[in-house]
Amino acid sequence: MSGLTRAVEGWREEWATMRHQARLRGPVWIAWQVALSVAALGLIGLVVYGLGAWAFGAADWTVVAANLRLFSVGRYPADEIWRPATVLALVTAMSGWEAGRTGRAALARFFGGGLAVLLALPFLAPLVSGASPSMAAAFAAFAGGHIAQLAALGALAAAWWIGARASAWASTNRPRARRLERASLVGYGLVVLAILILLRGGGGLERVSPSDWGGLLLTLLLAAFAIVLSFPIGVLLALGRRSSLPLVRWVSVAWIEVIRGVPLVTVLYMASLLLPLVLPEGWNPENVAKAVAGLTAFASAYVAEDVRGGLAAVANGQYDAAKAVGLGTVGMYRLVVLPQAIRAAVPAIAGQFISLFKDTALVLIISLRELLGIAIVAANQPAHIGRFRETLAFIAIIYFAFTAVLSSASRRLEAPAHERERDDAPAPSPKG
Amino acid sequence: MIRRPALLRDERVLAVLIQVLVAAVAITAVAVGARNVLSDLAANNLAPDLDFLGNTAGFGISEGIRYAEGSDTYGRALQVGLVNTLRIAIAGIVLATPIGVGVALARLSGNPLLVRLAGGYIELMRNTPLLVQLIFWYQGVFLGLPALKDAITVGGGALSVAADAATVTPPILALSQRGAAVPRLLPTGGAGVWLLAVAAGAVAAWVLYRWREAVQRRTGQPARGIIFGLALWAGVALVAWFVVGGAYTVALPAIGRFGYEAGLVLSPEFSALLVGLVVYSAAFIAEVVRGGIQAVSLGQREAARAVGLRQSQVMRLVILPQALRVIVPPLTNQYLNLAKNSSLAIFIGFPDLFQVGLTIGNNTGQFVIITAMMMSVYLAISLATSLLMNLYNRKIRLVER
Repeated sequence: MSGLTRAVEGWREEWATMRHQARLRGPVWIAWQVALSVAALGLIGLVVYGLGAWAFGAADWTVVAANLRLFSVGRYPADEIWRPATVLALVTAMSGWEAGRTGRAALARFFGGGLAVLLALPFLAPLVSGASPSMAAAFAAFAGGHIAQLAALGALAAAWWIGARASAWASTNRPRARRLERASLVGYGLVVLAILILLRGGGGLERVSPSDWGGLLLTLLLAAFAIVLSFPIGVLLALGRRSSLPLVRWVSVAWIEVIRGVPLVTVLYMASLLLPLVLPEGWNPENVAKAVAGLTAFASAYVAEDVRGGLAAVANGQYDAAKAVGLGTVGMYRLVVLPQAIRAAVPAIAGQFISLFKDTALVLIISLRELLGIAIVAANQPAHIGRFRETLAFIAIIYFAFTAVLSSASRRLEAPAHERERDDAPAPSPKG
Repeated sequence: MIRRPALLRDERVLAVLIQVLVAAVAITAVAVGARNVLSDLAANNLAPDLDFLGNTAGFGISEGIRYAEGSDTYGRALQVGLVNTLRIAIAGIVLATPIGVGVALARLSGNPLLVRLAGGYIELMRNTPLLVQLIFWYQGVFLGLPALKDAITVGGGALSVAADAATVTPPILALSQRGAAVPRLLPTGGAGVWLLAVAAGAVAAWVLYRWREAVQRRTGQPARGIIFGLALWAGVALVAWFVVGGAYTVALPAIGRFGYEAGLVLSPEFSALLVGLVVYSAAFIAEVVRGGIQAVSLGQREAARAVGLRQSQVMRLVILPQALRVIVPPLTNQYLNLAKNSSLAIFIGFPDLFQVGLTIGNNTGQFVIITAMMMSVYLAISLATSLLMNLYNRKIRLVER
């Protein structure tokens, strides 16, 4: 509700400004604004009308309704579908635990809201069944995932509640708080391991080859692993680039500049060629591993440049102060310089990770079938031949939802960082 | 007495140790990689050199500069790919820049509807992967166009194969499954002379401009250097055009029974790649331009007005020089991104450098060498641009006192 009132308030303010300007600037300006508005309205109307007419008319959404499972998990065996469902619940539980424990609820809200939308979609079916039966069928098909979605939502809520209780339990006791912090870090590591074992199988579970992973599952896995791996490598490269040791500097500079100078497809392709040749004989890396290696190599160079920008924002006095209190080089960077540099670089790094999420589409070059690959596969099925517009529009909505949420979260990250800076800064002195 | 630190705490020792370690890891990785690549090549009876580029290529390339399947070499095929990459990159930059500037101006216009329209376009472009957009343009738009005989035409009369071509006004743009056709400039015999005259006119106009500027500085009176210069240039171009009797003729698109018969014909692959890259990059360029213009503080505009400059002078003399300093470096980055993104051509079958390179790799087995070659070409383009950029930055850097 507050969002709506804020929007209305914003529009009213804008209208007041326009009226004010109209009084000041006279009839020529008004005529010009009216012309601009009419042109813009016409264009908006044309786009909305065209899209609506297509979506409810010519478009045949059967291709989406029939392939929903392919879009979500790829060719993961139908009998083993409970495994990705459990992974989803584990991930949402982690976000809920983090939200309850620390109060950082952005991720949990995103998962909760997303699951709620998915649960609500089948109820939209009757509303559109008159206009477009195939769209209604597509909405109804989402009901197939209800059990998994409800389980994930339940896991999220339960973990949130437990996390909040745990944080209350530890709030008055510093050693307890530290133990809780450590335990949840270890827990995250174990959960990630469990996710991999669950997805791959082995140890009693039936093996599922990673080449059968696909769809949104693969998109998210690739993005998550590449993001987690490229961050520390990027930080090391950024430090290496400023190192006083020439060899370290040359290697870092060469890595960063070569990677940034070539397109991602060539990096992915080269990684897929070289990885089997560099690894020991007999290790035959999966295509998924090659893709993660390529994406990580690529993203690390860009993260390094963002961190370098952050390092440049750290005042020289910080280094001197760190040395003065007796810290060594490692301690100086770990405790004083990097925390400030990374905080300054957060907006840029967040933007980098958003593009990395979109760039996962390029793993098509090594014939992995993430969202885009599935969209192409589905549009080549004999029953749905040529339905590229429908499948591509569908995955575009998914990509859009994820990136839009990520970028609004990163904008929220920026605000507190600014405020913190203002707290530290000395009071502004009046200029003479 | 100064106590020496423990051996492993001594920074000089540590420095040497770390460097040796890094060198060892880097050399091992390169050596193992090189050895394995070489043994892999040897196992496939391939030589670790570039001689294969001299062999005759056995595959066709759908478009580009002259290339004969079955008689030209792999090296020539790679040239065709490179020219195609440059073609798409240059065309993309030329088209995306004005569109991006236009969108940026719309976003800054202050009109609520226009601002939202531009903002929605930018958000849509930035939040969906380029590759999804490209495949949409190719599969969803250009391959979905009507057959040649029902081509969509813009300007000119309705065209059909049956109609007598002479009686129908040819269109400015024709779209069909065969791609797009647009007007083409055909040089006449006098084109070379005319271009020389235009170049000479540009030099003369520049000299005139500099002289008028000097007059203005000496006398303080407006000397209208730009107007005089442009007028001279236009005059020279116009006179030369009539002297040589027209340097170019325009060939409008014409549709025949088996394909386009006149005009500049763009294949569906080229059109989809170009449109996709332009529409995507324009959104990023718009953000760069908007950021640059907003970086110039309002006080500068007000001060310029206060000292009596006209609106056009405020823009030309105060806002643009400062905004450009902010805009140009990230704008160059966007141009480079566009050039690198053109490598996505492979997914819609346009024969750019990367697509041709991979085909050569498939035909010869020289995957690693050809991929390394392609990466070097992209790298060379990037580094050359960065170098120019650094020179430019040095030139326009703020002179601090």
